Amino acid sequence: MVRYTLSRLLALVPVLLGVSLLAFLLANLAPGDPAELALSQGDQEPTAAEIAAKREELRLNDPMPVRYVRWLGDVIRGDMGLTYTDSVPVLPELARRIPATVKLATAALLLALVLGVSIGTVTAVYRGTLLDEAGRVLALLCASLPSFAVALILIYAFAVILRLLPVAGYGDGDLRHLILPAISLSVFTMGTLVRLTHASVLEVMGQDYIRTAYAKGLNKLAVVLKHALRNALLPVVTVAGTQFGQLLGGAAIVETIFAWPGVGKLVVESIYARDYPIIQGFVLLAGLTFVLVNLATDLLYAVIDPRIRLGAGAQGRGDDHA
Amino acid sequence: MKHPHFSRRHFLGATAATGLAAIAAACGPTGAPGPAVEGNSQGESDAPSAQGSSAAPPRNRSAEELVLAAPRDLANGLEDPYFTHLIVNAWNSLSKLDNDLVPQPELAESWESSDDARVWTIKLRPGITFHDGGEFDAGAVAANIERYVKISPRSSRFFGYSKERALGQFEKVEAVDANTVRLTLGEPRPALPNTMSNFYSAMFSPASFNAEGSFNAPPASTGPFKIIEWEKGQHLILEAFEGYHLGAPAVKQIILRSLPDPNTRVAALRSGEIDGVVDLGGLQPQQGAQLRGEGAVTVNSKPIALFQYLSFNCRKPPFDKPEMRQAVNMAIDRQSLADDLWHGFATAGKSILPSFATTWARQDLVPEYNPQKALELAQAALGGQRMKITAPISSLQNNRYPYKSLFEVIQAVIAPLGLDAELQLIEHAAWKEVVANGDYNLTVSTFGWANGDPDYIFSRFMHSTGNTNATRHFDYNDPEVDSLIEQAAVALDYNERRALYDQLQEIAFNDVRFAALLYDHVVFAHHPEVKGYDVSALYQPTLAKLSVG
Repeated sequence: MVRYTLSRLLALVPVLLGVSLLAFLLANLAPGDPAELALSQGDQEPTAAEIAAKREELRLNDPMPVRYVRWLGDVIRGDMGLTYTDSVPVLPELARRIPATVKLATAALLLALVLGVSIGTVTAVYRGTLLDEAGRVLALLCASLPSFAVALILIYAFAVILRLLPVAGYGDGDLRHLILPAISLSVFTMGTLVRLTHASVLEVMGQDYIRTAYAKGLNKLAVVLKHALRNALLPVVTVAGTQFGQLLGGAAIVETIFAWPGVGKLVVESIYARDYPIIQGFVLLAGLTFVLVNLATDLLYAVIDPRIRLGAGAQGRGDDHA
Repeated sequence: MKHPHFSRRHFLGATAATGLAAIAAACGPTGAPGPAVEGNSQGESDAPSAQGSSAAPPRNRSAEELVLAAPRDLANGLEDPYFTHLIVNAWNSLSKLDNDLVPQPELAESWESSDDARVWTIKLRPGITFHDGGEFDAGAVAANIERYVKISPRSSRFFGYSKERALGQFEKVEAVDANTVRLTLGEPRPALPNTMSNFYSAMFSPASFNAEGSFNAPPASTGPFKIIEWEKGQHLILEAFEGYHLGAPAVKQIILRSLPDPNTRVAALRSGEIDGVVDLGGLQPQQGAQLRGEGAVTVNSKPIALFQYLSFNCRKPPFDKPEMRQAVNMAIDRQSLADDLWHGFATAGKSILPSFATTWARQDLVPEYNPQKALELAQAALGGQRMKITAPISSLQNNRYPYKSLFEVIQAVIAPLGLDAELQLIEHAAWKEVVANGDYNLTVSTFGWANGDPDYIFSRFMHSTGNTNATRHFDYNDPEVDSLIEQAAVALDYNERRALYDQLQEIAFNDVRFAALLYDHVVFAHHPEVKGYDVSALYQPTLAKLSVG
């Protein structure tokens, strides 16, 4: 297991280097002069002399490979530069926003997992019934509706018409502020998990050991919960892991709509302001989060199913299941 | 087939309970976005928190507290030259533009210049104090001007500071006595009250900034409201300044929430979670029209110092021919654009100087709407041929205005002229680059006439060294035009300046290298119980005059 973990960790290095290169090129090859962008945050257009001075200050006249190596060195030391909009360090700015995004994504994932697995299981167990049909329609709706549409529908229903919940805002510790954003963010993942669980449970329910369990006299609830679901959840765990990474990255629209002070909203604002240092920081952070969540999922998978671990040990790679 | 041990009722009950539990599990006491940035509060405050106001709709509206929403954060941190936007009403300036864009004394009482407009003596209003109790006097003004000179150029999300644009060639500032400041410049600057208006002479307590010119904390100023809390990206809490020199505001506390999504702002207004909307783009024209139709909230608008204008690339066919530019200009029905696309929240454009600024704008320069004449001009210029042209639009500006619809209208009305326009909706930086590289024929953008000085527009648009002239490829390189602009910039007599700017407006109007399409209005809305809500030509709301009744 240690060898497997180390091999997976080593495999991350080139991935992260690639992400860093992409993040660097994003700011340096995108349209517009970074020096001019840094000076053009308000309504003013900087003069040529001001732009030249800013280029010198940001050391943009050096060759690009030199700038990349210097930038990477700074990033490794935790220095991602200053934001263009308000000249504050990027890393603390991102770090300040992460808890809100993690809170939202965690709530959304838990909601999606609980509802997705439950509905998926029930529709599989009651296959062919009205409940199954209703579950499928719900799953299709969830997977088809974009999160912003769900958000606007929920706001209109629960905040404007019923006035049960606030329209937007964070509300420190106030549960009501989390409900609508979490539901909006979870629907797509929930739809995916319903369908996945449904298919997985159906497959497992046809296995010999399920028939054996019934033959032992166990009731349906016990068979489903103790035997079928446990095995059917293996692919669900994998997908849920990758979905968490996507939820973190995909929270931008939901955060903007609900004025939720997370990383996603910050990035949307930074894109509008062309604040490239923040966008670079986010790309790095999102890349890192994604690979770490994938790693954690793979390791968890290997713990759940030892065949993965053995296979990886024999072949020197661990993504055979993917 | 029956499933006696796994009933639907049990399952649904369990699902609902676990769903709620899932959310509750994720909502521990931890996980707040962390403290606001360093120095975001000014002393202890027992003010109710912003989320307290937002979490329990509908709220009781009272003079104790109002909640307004803006599409952006109206504060920008300690490194910003002004910390907050003008909209916030936290600071005052020496000179302020009135609704005709004429500079009026604000913290200054009066000003006079030497005959050559190089030395300016500014008398200050006596008896004004800063929020921190410090006295606003000549020493404070000198310290502020020296700070600006030191930090220039300083980027700002609101309005970047440049000492050249504010003061020209600055030489020195002196406190003559407690209420008199003398400013000496290296060149005549008759428009100084314009060029140092609003942002460019915002005054702060000298105790609020350090030797490098950065703020130590949200700065103390002299405005009707003082900042008591700033949660970056979320809200700004203002408290009425009892010592405000024009009288304490009636509303004791104002919470300015940042709600970036336009639909969310409207939903919050409808639900009563907020009492009003402020800022440019706070309500899009279509939303303003819709809310006005519903009648539940009061919707108003005001002409502001902002206009939409057409730019022609005059270095490339077909718009290197003046006839083609005139043809396009004549084919556009500006009144229809204002009425139908902007829902009445704009005025049809005339001269490049917005017509409400009567001090300078020529009212007689009205573009002719004449599709038939446009067709004749185009046929003569193109010889009956059809041409493909590119018309890029900035996605950033499309978010604030119905630019895509505007371009589709333009596309339709110029098609009969023989022009097949390809619309390109692109990211703002890419749009700027495309336009600056000359890879365009026609575009529309927005320009803010920030200081009411005509030189602000003409030196950029028409001078051979003007930045907008270069980046839009207007191709102005006329010594006579340059000379008019340079003469007007230093002319001491109003009538002389007016005559020069009249000539420049006429040249611009006839050349049609650029053309005003629409003069913008800001759309703002509030609940009917909120009284006294108006905005200035720079879309500053009159927060000090608000009351609830």
